[in-house]
Amino acid sequence: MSGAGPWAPIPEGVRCELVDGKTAARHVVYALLREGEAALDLSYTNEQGVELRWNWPLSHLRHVEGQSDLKWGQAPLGVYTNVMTPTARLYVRDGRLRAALETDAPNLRRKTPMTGKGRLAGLIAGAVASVAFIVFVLIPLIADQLAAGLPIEGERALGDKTYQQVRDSLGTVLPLNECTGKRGVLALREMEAKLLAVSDLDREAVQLTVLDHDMINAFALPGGRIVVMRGLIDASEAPEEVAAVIAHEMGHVAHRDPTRHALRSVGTFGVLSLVFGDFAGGTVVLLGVNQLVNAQYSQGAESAADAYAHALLPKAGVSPGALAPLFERLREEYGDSEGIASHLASHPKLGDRVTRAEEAAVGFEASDAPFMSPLAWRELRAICGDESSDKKSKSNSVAP
Amino acid sequence: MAQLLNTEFEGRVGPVLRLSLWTAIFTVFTLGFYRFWMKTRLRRHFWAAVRPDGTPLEYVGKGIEKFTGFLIALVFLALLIGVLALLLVYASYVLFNEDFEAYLVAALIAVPLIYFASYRAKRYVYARTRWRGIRFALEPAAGKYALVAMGHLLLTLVSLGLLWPRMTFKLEKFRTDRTFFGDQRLQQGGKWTGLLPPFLPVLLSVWGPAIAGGLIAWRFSDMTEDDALMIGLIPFLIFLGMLAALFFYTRYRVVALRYLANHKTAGSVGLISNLSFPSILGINLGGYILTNLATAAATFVVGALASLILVVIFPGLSDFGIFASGAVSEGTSIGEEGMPSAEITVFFALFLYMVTFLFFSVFRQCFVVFPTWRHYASTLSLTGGEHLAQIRQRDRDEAGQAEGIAEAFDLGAAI
Repeated sequence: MSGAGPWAPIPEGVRCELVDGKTAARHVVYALLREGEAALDLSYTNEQGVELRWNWPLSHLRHVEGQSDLKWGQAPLGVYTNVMTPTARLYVRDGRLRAALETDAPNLRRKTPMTGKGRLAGLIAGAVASVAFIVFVLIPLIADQLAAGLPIEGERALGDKTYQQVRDSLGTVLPLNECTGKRGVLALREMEAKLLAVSDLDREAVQLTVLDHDMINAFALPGGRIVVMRGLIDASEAPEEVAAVIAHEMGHVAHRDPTRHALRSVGTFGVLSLVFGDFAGGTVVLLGVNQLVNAQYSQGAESAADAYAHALLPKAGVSPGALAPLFERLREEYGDSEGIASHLASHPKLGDRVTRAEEAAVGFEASDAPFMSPLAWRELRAICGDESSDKKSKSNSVAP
Repeated sequence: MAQLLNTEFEGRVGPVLRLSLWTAIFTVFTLGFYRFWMKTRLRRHFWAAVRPDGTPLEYVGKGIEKFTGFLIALVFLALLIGVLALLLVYASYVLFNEDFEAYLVAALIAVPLIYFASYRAKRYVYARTRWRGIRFALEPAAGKYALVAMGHLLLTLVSLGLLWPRMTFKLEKFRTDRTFFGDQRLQQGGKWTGLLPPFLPVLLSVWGPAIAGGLIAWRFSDMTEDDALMIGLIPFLIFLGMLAALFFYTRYRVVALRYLANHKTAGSVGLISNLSFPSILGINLGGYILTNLATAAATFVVGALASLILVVIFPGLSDFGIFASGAVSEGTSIGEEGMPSAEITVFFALFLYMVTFLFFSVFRQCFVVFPTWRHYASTLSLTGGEHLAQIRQRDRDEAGQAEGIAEAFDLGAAI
């Protein structure tokens, strides 16, 4: 301990702190900025009294990422490294030296060039392709296989669960009201029985339910529950129009589309929430339920359900063309492809379906007995209670 | 001359608010994909604020590392979550006509995976943390960690919770004994029984009401009219017990952290923590009240601004005034004359939801996480500072795939 200690002469330069990136010792160094040589001289006397010197050319100085504007109380704290010894750190608390370094060192903000861009691009492409394969090929494939093997009890349980989810998500505070007007339900059962009797489905395969909502919509759930929104009944001008929509949904039930769809979404939602992370929590869930209500089956499944309805309706004494007037009115109101306001309106190519419904109706001869008595139809329209039905039918009615 | 080195904390709420606000907005606008860079930036900021002996900690991780790690984990997890969830739900409906069993099995698979992922996440964070230019590190042992954790979890279950502090201690020791600062291995000293006293009140507040409730139910099983009051006591007891358990568990966490810190050494360097439970409790209570108030106020302002725009576009909404956006998001009068359509309703419901969520996470960062860090840091000291000179640098650990799986489970959600 000869040269060091309290009696050693104070070296020239500004007192700074240095860690060399080799040991966890922090050294007090004296830094001297040599303007002419564009370099920073650092000198340090170790415990053995040996003076060590480093020379850092100013062009080698770099900011440490994320530490370029640190504070030390009110004063700025400069943190620098040397591109040649990237684990070394120089801590400058002297305001004047820091200001001089900030102006004189030319490459402070230069970053190490990014490597492996090609690898990164490949990784992104590979990940996107794999996830797309899982979501669009693998999950639908497995879901379709499983849907065919699900026993009816399991299917009903799955349907009841989704039914609750739909009611919860569409209701504001309480779950959405199920319409249970006594005479209305009787009329609904009558329609259900009539359509089931002429179909190839079991007597218990389908259960009709009306929910109290403005949406002009009807959809099938796993296990054969078909939900008709009050808005649809209000928008229909004849019971045959409602029957035609229900026949279409029965087609989905017969083909087990809702079960396939529900199983698919079990897999898909999990993966989607994974991709987007939890940045907005339940958003994905929200979207998911929305998707369920506006169930978009494939074009093929829709055509198959239409064909099913076209075959079924004449047997029940309803023209397959009964779908057409409702669609026409919806088209006038919402346009051909815009307007997700209603499930029916959102089906692709409404015009085509109207044409096909009318084609199927060619040669159909109406029987004398009406599909449903005017009294039963009035009672069905009042299934959610008179008041709401009257109000809505006014605002939704189309030009007489 | 044993040197005692205190830890300074240099940081203010203002910069934290600014940083977390703009990164959060960016994250929302990129559909969540900026979150890797957001976390990286927040970490850099929080690390640099912690300064043992005046030298800032450094976080040198990169957003892109986290992103690529996530991509690799994504493929594996998409298969696991997508296909397995599907099979489980199917099997559950076939066998039991409900999906509860599927979630149970999924949870059983998820638990070891979570321990595995959290270890790997810690390994990445340690490998990207430096102090005085020296790297930290955690040895790779995620698989073994998950196994050991499962064993401890089973013991805890069998012992009805009595061995929970043992699990806390053993798992902490497992990690600490594999942690390095430079070439110096850390060591966890102490005994698990040291954590038992602070845990006993938790146990009592769970066991007590359970036993009392059981006794009441048994004693009054053939209940008459008069006994209805006693039966009515059970939910009240359970509520009280849960409240007490929550309070004592929070206290246990703080006391355990302090005990474990005070028994950690790195060679001749030791730690002293003066963490205080009342302070942490105050920070959390005050912090969450502030967070909720600020979130409500900010969401109200944004909602009112959105209402203004809505009223201009849809004159039918003018009756609602500044509450128009709320009314729209609830689906009031969809499709009527001069009123917005259903898509706009869905959009606004989403928008208000996201805004609330975003503000909450930002304010929580500022008013809860930040003060908690300040308290943790400023109550921490190092002993034996003169021995730091003997600690040498270690090689860089790639810690490939970064936090990968943990990313997906949102572990360590704060930072």
